[in-house]
This record gives sequence, structure tokens and C-alpha cells, in this order.
Amino acid sequence: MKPKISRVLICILVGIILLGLTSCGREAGYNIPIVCGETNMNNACGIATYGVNYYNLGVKAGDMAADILLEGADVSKMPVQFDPNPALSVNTAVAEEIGFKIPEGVLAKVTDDSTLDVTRVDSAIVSSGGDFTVGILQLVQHVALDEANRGFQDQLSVRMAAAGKTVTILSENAAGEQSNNITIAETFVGMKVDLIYTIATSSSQAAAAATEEIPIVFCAVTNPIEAGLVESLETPGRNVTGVSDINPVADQIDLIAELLGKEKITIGLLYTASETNSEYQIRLAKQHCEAKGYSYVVKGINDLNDIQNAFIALKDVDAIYIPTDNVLASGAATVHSINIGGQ
Amino acid sequence: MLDTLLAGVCQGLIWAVLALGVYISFRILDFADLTCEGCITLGASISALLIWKELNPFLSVLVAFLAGSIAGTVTGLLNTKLKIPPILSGILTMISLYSINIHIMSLATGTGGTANLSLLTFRGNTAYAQVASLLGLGRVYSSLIFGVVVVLAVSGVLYWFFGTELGCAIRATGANATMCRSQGINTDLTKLCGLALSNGLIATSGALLCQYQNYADVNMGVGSIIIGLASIIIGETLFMKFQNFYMKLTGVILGAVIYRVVVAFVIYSGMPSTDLKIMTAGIVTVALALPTIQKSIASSRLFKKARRRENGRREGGGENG
Repeated sequence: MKPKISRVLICILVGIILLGLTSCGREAGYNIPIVCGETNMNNACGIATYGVNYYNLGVKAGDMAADILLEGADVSKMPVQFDPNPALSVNTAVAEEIGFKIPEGVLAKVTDDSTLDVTRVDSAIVSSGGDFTVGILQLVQHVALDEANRGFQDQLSVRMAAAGKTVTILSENAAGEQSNNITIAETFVGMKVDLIYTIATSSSQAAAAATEEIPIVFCAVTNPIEAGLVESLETPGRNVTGVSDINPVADQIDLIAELLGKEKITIGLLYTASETNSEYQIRLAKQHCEAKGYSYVVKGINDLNDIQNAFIALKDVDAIYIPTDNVLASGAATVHSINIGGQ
Repeated sequence: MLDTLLAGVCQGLIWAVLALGVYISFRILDFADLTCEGCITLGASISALLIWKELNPFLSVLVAFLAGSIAGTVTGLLNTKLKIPPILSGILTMISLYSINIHIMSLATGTGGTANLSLLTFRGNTAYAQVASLLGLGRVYSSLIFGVVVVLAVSGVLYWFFGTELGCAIRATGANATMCRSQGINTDLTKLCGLALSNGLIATSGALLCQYQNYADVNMGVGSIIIGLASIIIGETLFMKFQNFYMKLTGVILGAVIYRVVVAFVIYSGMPSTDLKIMTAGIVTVALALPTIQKSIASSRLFKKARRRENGRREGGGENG
């Protein structure tokens, strides 16, 4: 049966009307300055962020290990820590696109190197027979993870030297083969080491599976809750605690205030509702906003299709903060195009 | 020392199930199947997902076996029906399993792109934990007993299966496919069955491994085919006298256990962490070279003996003269 010409015409007409409607519905652009929780996402849609430095994470972990070994700190009550000295980076391209001028004061604080200055005390590390034995389990040879290992050893040596103690460090690397994770972890348990330092998620999980008694300090784990390592970031609840490589939330909020250059601000907090990690960061952000007296609007999305609606809800805020969030990170380009009003 | 040894044996028993699976495809069926690396992760992620959904952990191992069989069947179909070469069919299934495994793990968390699924929050609900609480023993000893039971059961079933008509047909397919076809055996079907069984076992090993180490990770399969092959070859070389089928299976199991114990001792010996792989390779090489070394020692001894005898005869002759 041939389609009637009138029917074809009607179809075309309806199509044109729909197209017109969608283009009318398109906003001219929000141009809200965004601060993202991590550098990669910030490169796509944000104007400035603090990035983590893995050497610093290692230093922090070394401090925690020293607290556990020297002062007998209770692992189950030691909160998960973050980068003590994150590096500031700005994205001038996006700032220009949304017509935002980054203050000179912030630009002046941009550094190429935020690495903490720790001088290793070689005499505190002995090859055998130290006061303490620490096993290091690293997943793979990798620049960031190697830095986390170096920072840990440096800081631990400093703390040990200060206390007049020595430590034997057994550093093992699974060489990227996860089957070695559990082998190394169980070997450490068999050797009855005093503490296990694990670098990367799967290595930390293997160590946690191998022992429920020996203290474990992890590093370079983005989401310790989802990884099952800790019950909550405030109180880990077991023999496992450590340093997460998620971004420093309070610093990011302060950065927003600094960028805007005024005291009375409203910050939009945009995140994916289903991600426990993001939810925790948003909780921290809210606490910090309340402490500093900033007002905030929270908007949780379910998937990338909700971004448009989220922007409508957040259109009056001075700036938006997006935490380390898998869904939003995957849709960073979408966030940017909606923000500048493109398609 | 003892703990390290026993932990190595525990892991070896898990890898023995994988080695048996690899043995079926590589040795019995003579099919270089690379599905393994994806399949072990498939078993792990299926098992982890089901434990997240609060299913019985032992049942989750069975489901993992079935899932692995399906993956093996896909490889088999690619090879037999679409005539894709064995290695390539395996690689195709392996790489597609990467995406599938992430989807499976995402089902548990509800967020897309989950590449690592933890069982630490469900640590009381793994097969190993349940066996431990049932027997009232520590982690190492209960895992050892459970591992031995599983490996005995698997190898027992395999021994029985390869004695049945279908099992014999699978063995014959690997030995001489043309002859098989002339006997009226459908070699496509036997290949499919063999690959399904092989990958089912590999997935079972993955499920056990994930419950043992309390996590499934999309990259956990990396290097597993090497471990499987090394186990088989170590077993075959060290136990060359094992000629009948059950003894051959035993050789494979012992090979896997020896491999893991060797790795554990390489780590225990405290060598620099960058040298783990070369040390492991070195020790495996020694194991493989042992028969040759033994033979050359034996022959040189024989040579010396012969010379001594000749010298003795000459000296004796001198006395006589």
C-alpha cells in the first residue's frame, strides 16, 4: 500500500514542530563556575580544583602507621585520611568560555609541585631485626603507586628515628598479577609482621581477607567503603584504615569562596545519589558550608539524563561543586555543554 | 614458615581446579583456548554477585560453573560453526567477557562501571568462612580441608566422565580428529562439550578464588593462563612416571600446588620486589630442567662406571700377566 501524500506531509510537519519546540526549550547557557573533585573532570568542565599528590598520601599513611606502631593507636577508630597538601590547578580555557575571571590571588597559588618535604632517615630502616617489621604490598609498578610507597617509607623512617626505634621493611610488588596479592598478604601474615601497608584497592582487599588481627594501613584507595575495607570513613570499625585518594572536600569549598571573592555565597552541590562515595563527600561539604556560613543547594541526580534538570534547579547558585563521582565524571563533557548552553 | 607453606597449598588447590580445566582444553582436546583469562573473572564476578544477593555461597559456585560452561560453548561455537581459529575464538570470548564481567558486577552495586566487587562486608557468608565455622578451625586449616575436598570431588568426577562414551569421544577428538570423524563421532559436539567442561572448571576456580580473597576484580584473570600452563607442565615433568589417566590428573593438581608454593617461598625468601617474576620463572625452569639434569647425571655415572670397569679389567689383566 502506498502511503498517502497528505500523511507524509503531516509527518514532516510534526517533525518540524518537534524540532522547533526542542530548540526553543534549549537554554542560552547557565555559565556557572564549576569546581570539580578531581583534575581529569576539572579539565573538561571545571575552572579550578585541588589534585592529590601520591607522595603526600604515602607520607600521611606513614604517619598513621607510626601512630599505630609507636603509640598503639586503635586502628578501628582511626578515621580515613586525605592528602594533607593538595596541589591547586586552574582551567583557564573553561573559565574564559563561561566568562569568569579567576582572581590573581588564586592564580598566584597555582604550583607545579606540592610534594611535602620529608628527609628520609636511612639509619632507622634496617634490613633485618628491627624493632618493628612492616610488610608493604603494592599492586603494580606505577608512577603514582611508587610515589605512595616512597612517601610512606620516608615518613616512617623519620618517625622511627624520632622515637629512637628501627623498622624492617619488606616491600613486595604483585607485578600486576592479582593472584600474587593474596600470596604476598598471606606470606606477611605467616611471617607475623607488625603492620601491613597496602597500595591500591585489590591489594588492600587481599590483605584484609588474609588477616583480621594485624593492622592494615591502605593507600591509593578511592572508595574504601565500597571496597569493603572500612565501615565508615569516620570509624573504620576493623583492623583496616588508611589514606584515600579522593579529593579534599573542605579545601575545595574554600577554593570556591576564594574564587568568588565574597563571603555571602550560595554553592550548588551536584552529585549522583546512588554513589556512597559521593554522598559522603556531599555530607562533608554540607558540614563545611555550615561551619563557614555559606548557603548551599543540594541536587542529587540518578543518571546523566538528569543533568539538564539539575542545572535548572541550580541556576541561581554562585558556583557548583561536583565531588569525585563516577557518573558525573563520565558525563563531564555533557555537564560542560549544558553549562555553556551548547548542544 | 609452616603457615606460608600451608597458605601456598590452599591457593594451589584453588588453582588446581583451573589447571584441570586448562588441561582438558590444551592437553586432552588439543585446543589452545585463551577464554581462561576472562572466564576466571566471570566465575568470580558471578559468585560475588550472587553472594551480594544473599544466595548460598556453595550454590553460587555451581552457578559460576554453568556460566563458565556457556562461555566455553561460545568459544566452541565460534570455532566449529564460524570456523574461526581456536586461539582467536578464545581471544574473542575473553575480550567480550571483560565488558560482560563489568556488567555483572554493576548488577550488584547498581552503579554502572563497577570494576571491583568486594566481599569483605559479606566475609562471613563465603564458602570458606562457612566451612571454617562448621569445622571450628582457623582460616588456613579449614581452607585446606575444603580445598582438598573440592579437588578430590572434581578430579573424581573428571575421571568418571572421561571413562564414559562421551568422555572417551572427547579424548579421541583431541588425539586424532580425522579418525574420530571416520568412526562416526561428531567432533564439533565433542569439542563443544570439552570446552564447556574446561571453562566451567576455570570459572569454578574463579568463584573459589574470589571467595577466598574476598573480592572480584575485572583484572584478576591477568596471567591466569600462564599459571594454568605452568602447573600442567610442572606436573607432567616432575611426575613423568604417572602414566594412567587418574595419575595424570593428580600430576596436574600437584603441579598447581607446587607452583603456588614456589611463588610463596620466593616472596618469603625476601628477594627484591621487582624480581618476583624472574625468580618464579627461574625456579620453574629448574623444575622443568630437572629430568634432563637427572638423565645427564645418570648417563655420566654410567659412563664412569663403565670406564672404571674397563680400568679394573686392564689392571686385572696386568696382574694376570
